[in-house]
Amino acid sequence: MVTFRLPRLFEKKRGSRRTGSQAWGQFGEACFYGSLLVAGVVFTVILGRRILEAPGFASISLWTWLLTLLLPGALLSIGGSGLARLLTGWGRSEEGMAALRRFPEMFQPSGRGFDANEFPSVPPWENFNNSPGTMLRYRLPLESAESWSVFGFGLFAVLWNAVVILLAVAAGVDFVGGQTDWLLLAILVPFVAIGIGGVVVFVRALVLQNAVGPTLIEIADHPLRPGDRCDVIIGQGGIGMFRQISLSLELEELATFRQGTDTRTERRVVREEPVAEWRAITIAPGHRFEERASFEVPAEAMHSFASLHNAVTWRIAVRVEPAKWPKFTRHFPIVVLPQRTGPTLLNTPPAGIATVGSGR
Amino acid sequence: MSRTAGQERLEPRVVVNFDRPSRRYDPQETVRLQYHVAGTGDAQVRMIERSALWYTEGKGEEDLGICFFERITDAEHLPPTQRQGEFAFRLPASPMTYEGTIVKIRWCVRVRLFFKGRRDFVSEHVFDVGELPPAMPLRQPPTAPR
Amino acid sequence: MRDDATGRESVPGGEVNPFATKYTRLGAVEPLEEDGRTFDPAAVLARLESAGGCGVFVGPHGSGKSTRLEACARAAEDTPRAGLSRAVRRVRLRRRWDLWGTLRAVLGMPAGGLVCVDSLEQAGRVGTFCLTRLARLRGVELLATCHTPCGLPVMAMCHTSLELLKRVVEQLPPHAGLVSQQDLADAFSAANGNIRDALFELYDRAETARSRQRS
Repeated sequence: MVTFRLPRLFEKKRGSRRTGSQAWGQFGEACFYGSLLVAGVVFTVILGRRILEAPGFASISLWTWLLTLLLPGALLSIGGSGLARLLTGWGRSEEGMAALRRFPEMFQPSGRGFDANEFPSVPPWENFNNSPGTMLRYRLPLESAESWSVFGFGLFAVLWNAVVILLAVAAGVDFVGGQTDWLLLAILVPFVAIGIGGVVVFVRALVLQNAVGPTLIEIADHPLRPGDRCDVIIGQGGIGMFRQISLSLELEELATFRQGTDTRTERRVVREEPVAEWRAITIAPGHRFEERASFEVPAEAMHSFASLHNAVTWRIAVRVEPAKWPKFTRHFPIVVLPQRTGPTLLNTPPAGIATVGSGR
Repeated sequence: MSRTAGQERLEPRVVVNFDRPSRRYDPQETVRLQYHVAGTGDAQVRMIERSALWYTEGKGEEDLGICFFERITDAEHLPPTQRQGEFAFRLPASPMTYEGTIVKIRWCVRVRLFFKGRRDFVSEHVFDVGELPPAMPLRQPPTAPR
Repeated sequence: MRDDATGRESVPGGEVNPFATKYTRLGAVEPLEEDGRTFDPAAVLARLESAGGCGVFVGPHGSGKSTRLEACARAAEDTPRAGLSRAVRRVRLRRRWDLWGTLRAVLGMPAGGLVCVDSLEQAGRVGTFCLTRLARLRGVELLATCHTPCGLPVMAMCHTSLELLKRVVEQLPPHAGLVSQQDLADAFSAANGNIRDALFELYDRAETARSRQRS
């Protein structure tokens, strides 16, 4: 007898068990976040129209202002971010999503999957080799883009201070009108403090990013193998004096553990090979510090490795000490393949999986 | 033996002999081994699974990758003559055995016995792929004097 | 190494760090009482039944709540009722949205079954109320872990002690002198009584000792 079941629009994965179809579950989740997004748009239109049609700003109550700013904003941000997360994770398992969140984005499989390449569990390197350099063959991407954090600080500062300004205007209007709202004033104090702090953090991050400038690394070959020697060019932007700029090759281990609601990720640098160091550098406006060096991957080095919860990553570390700003380090991951051992075949045999009957 | 109340207590063991006493292989080499099952008494073994895999060990969740998997089944039970055997598999190019600080990578073969009554027993035997030196932590946490 | 309780033997080829998560993860270590005595899951299940079918383990992070919950789940699976094996379902609440799945788990259980919920504090007061009411209506028993008392009968207050840590370490593979009694005391203190964190700390100490031995 065939049994038909209604699709479960909300499902979650519990360990190794599912409560329903993942596809229907994701569809249900998309409907949920989509409805929040639509509700946010509707509220924005309704409340915005109410404000625009009001005879004057003074006639608009504080709660209308708060409702207009906070409710649509919350609905739009929750709905939008949920949909964005869902779209990026479409078709991926919970473990796959967790792995992508922890590893640099250039480790995203190029559609073939980690184990489909000739070196199982070695992260794919196609994303690296898609970026040609201007002086050497490849330009390496940064481990984590810093511009997003500056953008985040800026967005927070703008949104938060917009709310602060509106509350301050409302409090001022009340004060001028002879009605002092002490509760509103009490709320304003911490809001203003946080708003000022947000602006300071954002400006500092922006100035720092412009003052010290971007760092670029180009290498002559990629991926590398133990024992390989490789040329590297470093370019550092910025203006002014730099006490020191140094290059090194690092090996880092990463381990993630989850139990209950606890998730801990630990990183440990287990190897550091100095490559080059420059001191007392002055960068004139419109110019860039540029130098060439070479490094050797140690002959007995472990190859790059990545699994769902663990990784062994090689990277080039650039440590910069500006004269007037805090020192910082930028990391550029590279992929190191296993040592050459005898003839190397491009295609490793697939895992042998067979069920053998006893033949009785 | 795995937990089942009221069952006879068995002490199965699986003896594995690798073709190299050192149990050290290079990537893409073929590993050959023989095994035999002992200590099962009159218990009925209905299935044997034999596999080769790598797994991680350390401070993170365990991950694993299967290199070879084979299942020997029977509707009733496997006679003692079928509780021994040999198999071979070719190692992939990676990963290599790695003795890190918070991440270690190990290779092993597993022979899993399935008994009647849903009990099972797994025997794991580690071997090495490659010959990498162990990693040393750069900055060592404090240790109390002994 | 051989563990007849789980039906496993392992012939290691390399140096084993006994504090690796492989040996300390949920289910790998038998739960113990604060003073090191063996934990009795059957007694807890009997108390759960007499308390009306809902109960909770209370304690801070790393105090062994999840370990006791898992032991009770296994004991319930191994103890048939009326000649039939008992349905047991494990659920972990990572965030409040997971409550929906937990409610469906209770709905899907037959009467007399047991639902084990890890991290019930994620459900909140309303969620906990709904869950317990639904479980009682369905005739399903509910056993959970929580960081603080949540109104359910407390099956055990989970506390940790240095003695408990020592008994846990005794269950792990031999460390061959890599860590001393002082290391255990220091790790327990550094982890503020959190057994899980203390084991992570001991992992580092064992690795340091081993690297010193190599050099």
